[in-house]
Amino acid sequence: MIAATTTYTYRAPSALDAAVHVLALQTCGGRTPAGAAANPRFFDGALTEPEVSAAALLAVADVASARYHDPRLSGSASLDPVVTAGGGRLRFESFSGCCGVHARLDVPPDGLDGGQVGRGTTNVDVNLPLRDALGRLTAREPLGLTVGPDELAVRTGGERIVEKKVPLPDRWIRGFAETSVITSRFGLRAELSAAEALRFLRTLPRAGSGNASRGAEWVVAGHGRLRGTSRPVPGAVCLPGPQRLTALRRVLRHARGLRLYGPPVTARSPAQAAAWELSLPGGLRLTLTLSPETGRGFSGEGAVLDDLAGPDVEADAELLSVLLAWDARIDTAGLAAEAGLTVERTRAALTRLGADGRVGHDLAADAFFHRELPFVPGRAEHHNPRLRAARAIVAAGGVRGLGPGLAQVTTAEGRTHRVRGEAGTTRGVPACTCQWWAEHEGRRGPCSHALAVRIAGATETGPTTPGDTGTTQNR
Amino acid sequence: MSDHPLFTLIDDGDYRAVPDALAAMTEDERRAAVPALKAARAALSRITLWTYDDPRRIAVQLAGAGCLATAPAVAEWLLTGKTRVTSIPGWRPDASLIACLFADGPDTRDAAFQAELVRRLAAARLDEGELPYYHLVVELIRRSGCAVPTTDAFVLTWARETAGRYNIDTTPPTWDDRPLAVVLADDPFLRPLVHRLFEIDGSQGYTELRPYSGDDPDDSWPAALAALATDGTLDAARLHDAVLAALVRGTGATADVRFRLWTLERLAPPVQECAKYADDYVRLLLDGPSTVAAHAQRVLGEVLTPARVVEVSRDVLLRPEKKLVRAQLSWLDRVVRQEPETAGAAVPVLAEARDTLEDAALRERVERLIARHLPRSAEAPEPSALPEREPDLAPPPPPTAARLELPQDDTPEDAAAALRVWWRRHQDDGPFEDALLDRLIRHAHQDRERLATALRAGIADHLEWFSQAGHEPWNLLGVAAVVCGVPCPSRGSIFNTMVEVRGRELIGRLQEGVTTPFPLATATHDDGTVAAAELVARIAAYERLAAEPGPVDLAQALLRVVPQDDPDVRAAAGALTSPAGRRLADRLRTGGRDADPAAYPEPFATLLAGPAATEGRSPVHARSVFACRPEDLPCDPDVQAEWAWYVARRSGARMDCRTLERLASLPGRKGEATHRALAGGLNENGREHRAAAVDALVVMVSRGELDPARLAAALGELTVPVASRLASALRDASVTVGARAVWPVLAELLPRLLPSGARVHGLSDLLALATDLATRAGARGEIPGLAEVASRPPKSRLVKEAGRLRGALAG
Repeated sequence: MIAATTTYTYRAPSALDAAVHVLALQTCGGRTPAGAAANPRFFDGALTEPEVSAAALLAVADVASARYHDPRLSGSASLDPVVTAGGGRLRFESFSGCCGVHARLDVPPDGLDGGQVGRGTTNVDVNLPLRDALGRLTAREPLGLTVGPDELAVRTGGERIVEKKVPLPDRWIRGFAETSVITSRFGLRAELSAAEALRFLRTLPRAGSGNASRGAEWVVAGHGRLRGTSRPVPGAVCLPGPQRLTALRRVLRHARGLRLYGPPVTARSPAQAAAWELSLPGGLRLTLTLSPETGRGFSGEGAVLDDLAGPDVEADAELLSVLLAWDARIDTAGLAAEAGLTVERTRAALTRLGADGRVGHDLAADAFFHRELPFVPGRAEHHNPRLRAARAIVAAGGVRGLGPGLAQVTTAEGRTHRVRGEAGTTRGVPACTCQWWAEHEGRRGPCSHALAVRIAGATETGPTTPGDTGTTQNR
Repeated sequence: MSDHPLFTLIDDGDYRAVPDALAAMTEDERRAAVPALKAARAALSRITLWTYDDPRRIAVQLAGAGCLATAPAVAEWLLTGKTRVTSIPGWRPDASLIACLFADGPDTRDAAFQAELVRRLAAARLDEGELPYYHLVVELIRRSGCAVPTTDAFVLTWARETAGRYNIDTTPPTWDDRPLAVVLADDPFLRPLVHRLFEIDGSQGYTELRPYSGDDPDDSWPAALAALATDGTLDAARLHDAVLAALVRGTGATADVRFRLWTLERLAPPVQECAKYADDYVRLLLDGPSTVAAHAQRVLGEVLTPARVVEVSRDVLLRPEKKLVRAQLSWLDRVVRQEPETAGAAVPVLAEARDTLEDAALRERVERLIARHLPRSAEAPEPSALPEREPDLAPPPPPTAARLELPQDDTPEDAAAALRVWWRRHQDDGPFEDALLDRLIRHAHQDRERLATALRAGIADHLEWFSQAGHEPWNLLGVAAVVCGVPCPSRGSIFNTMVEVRGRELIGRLQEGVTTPFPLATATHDDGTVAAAELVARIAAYERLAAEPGPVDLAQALLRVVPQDDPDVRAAAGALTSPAGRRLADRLRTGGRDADPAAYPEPFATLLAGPAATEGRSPVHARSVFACRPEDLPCDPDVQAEWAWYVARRSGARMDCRTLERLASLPGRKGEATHRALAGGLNENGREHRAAAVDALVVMVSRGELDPARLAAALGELTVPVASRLASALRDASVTVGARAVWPVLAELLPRLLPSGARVHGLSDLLALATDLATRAGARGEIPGLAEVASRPPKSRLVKEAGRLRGALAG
């Protein structure tokens, strides 16, 4: 297992400024539509539900610093949560040190107020004074939130640079990425009221206590109540290592409902992964995904590997990665049409991207969302020849904009083509004057010139593009 | 350089003389010695349990500390690799290291060097509960006056060393009698480090002064810190803030929480101080563990404004701890009486609490409060609707046993390989052995020579062992040995598993050459039963070969067969002519019940007669566990339940609830023994075990085999019924099968538990569940004994719950 040591560099430590009542989260190097950015700035506004958001953020940070398999070692290395901004919403994700629990907080546009949300993924700094302050927060009026360094700090250069060297085992990185792929196979199994959720979750043993069980238990719902059962029945959800749900205790008080997601289960199923999602006021959702056993992490299951085994999956995945733009909800059919692939191939390619940590899966919306984990090394793009050609064109500077929706592309051989977006498109794919387009006309997706325009266009616009509704639009 | 006297000392291992030798060298000589020292270090042996106190190793360590120039190099020399020696019995390197580091006098190393070395050494991890080279670090801090490090390891070691009273390093060992407060007051590290003590989880293990006899409340860290805060040595406000922050953070085990809470209680800050931290105390009251919340409640009683009290009560009344809820209700009552304007806000809070509380006594108290404080003009808030009558739902279908698949084209080589696997891993695995025995006998019948060759090739070493061992089992290995012609010793075995019982008979038949095409008793389904049609076919095959099955084999087959009502099967059984066939036909005709022990050979006769006859000692054991396995017992739920019950009682173990699930799925009538075992399972302590018992109950209900009267009788006969466990188990069962199926059990059980003499733990929980089920099932009628309990004068929760149940039953 190779443990690569990643360095997170923040301009300043994150802090909760009580004087101006603002939560300032600092970001480090991550990815945005414009490429890699050192300290991107995503949001400047307010949280409408401060107490709930603070408690949920603390729960996510708790999971990041926890090791449920061996509680004695907890607190040794705190890994910072990953924030994804896009489509008007913020998502905070973290993964436990034992690679067994994945937590995600979704803050929808209703939970945010008064600012534009940028696009991109990076780590946020969560330190001990910030956790203290968040734990003591009892605010009634909305709490200001900034994600990213202050403009002033960027311009004057930071003296207080916070550097954390964190070893990230390969197993941890892969587990983080694969969780999204595994949850894409889940279905909704039970939906419970807040009172029942409270009652059930309070009967579970706490982490580190002597009653913590290592084996798998199952829960099944009926008449709006949950009961534990010792063996799987159809419709049951596995609860492997119930003490790992203690991360939810901070927000239990505010819960509005509980949903359970899991894979289809028969009477002979072994222990499975499961997702427990609490809905909170303001539309916030806190989801905990548990691995099949306490000491085991998430591992690629058979169905996932089938998808990854196709002959064109790598090439398709790279093509899709260019077409994604931090969408909060990836519309598979629309993306398939835009790329000129079938829906099955698109799904397989999305699974491949998920295994690389480049998309996440939102259970409540039952769709993927685009996020690029900042610590997964970028893949070399050898597989898709159209993409290779497009990147060569952009690198040689052959793209020139002629007006809205119109661009002129000069290839390496000196030929020029005109690419037209918006108008004159068939099925959402930009039209081009090249021979390839004349032959295929969008049935096979964009040509390399259209891809070059898209890559160049994404580099020019900054991370905050107003009016983004989060679905892939015509460009 | 290696001929320098220093290296002679190193080779001799004379580490005590190294400091003086270093003092005698000049600085250049010391620098020049470094490469040779590095070579000497590389030449040392690795640190193991036997070599860690090698005198040469210590000598190299001391010499290196004196000769290396930079602090990082010295830190690396001391902390990593072969020169890391932190202590050996009777001697610590710290004093010698000081002498080596300052070989030319106190000015040898400047302050920057010392500060850097302190920083690096303090960053090391704890080694057997203490920081390595702690005393060296302390001495360096004292000499250089650098900042005190605040790493976790340093703080914890400081705590233990400071408070440690028994010093074993001096001869004779000394005991420090001064009180802890006095010791701490003189300690220069107190002020920088004491606040860190509350931030580190696990510090409680280091601040326990007397680990084996418990802490004396007056001679302990919290008492000492409180005393120091009172007389001004420590900043009381800052200490209060640190402890409170640690509690609000909420990390750490129960022991850490106890330590912090104890400190906070001893500190007893004044009311104005607490008022400044009102928000933190509120957070503790809402989210903290119950002891902390109780303390916060006491403190806040003098601090919060009435409006805030009402606001906070909404969440506190939802907490599961009843003591907290009662205290909160009294507080709320007091507040509203003093400030009647808050009554308008308090009543909705109380109404919400009333709807969520399950305890009838508390609920009545809340009702009284609502009635007392309701503003004159307002209306009483409606109580939430009672649970509705449930629709008639069919219970989920019971699980069906799956058919076992025998491998289609099974070769003797495969069987030999499977035998090898069995030897490694599956020697106690009943179904595996069953199937493998079947395969071996079939191959032995079809082509004995080929099987013998395969076995000799595959398990030759096992066969050799078999022929030489004295007490070996007569199980599958014996069968293999007989097939191969290996001589079997005649002494028998110490184990008596069912496979051996069958194996002995089959081995005898193989040796005498009696035709045995296959064993009759091999299971066809994964719950250990044999389908009747299949058994008829097998006996017909025996008849065609004009062979008689062995008595043990036949008995096991007859006891495993599942009688079906299929007339074709009965007709086919009637067509059999052999004695075995006739016995099978008889058994199928009588429905397969009540097997007569006298008609079966040993050990089946004993098994059928039940454990009462032999006081729970079963004639067959499993190999590793001395109880009999469910696969060995006849497929009659009552017989299996009786044996399971006796085994549990005799060995003091808990009822094996997996067995209960198996029992519930077996076909056959479920009589008194099964219900008694089920009652024992529902009363179990562990959550998972109770869940398995509930699963068994659900399966029985879905097959229509549950007899509520019998189950209630069995529950009433338990020696220690814990009604709260029964209540939670029955509630879980009603989640899946509905209240209508579970209510009759309770209706029969309550009269047995209610009589005035019975003191059953948690009976009020059971009555609350009964009310809930009665409402959901729409039950009516009388329960004997209920009226008497409901009309008792002391208004305890039991009486109130009984009253509610009476009301629900009356309609």
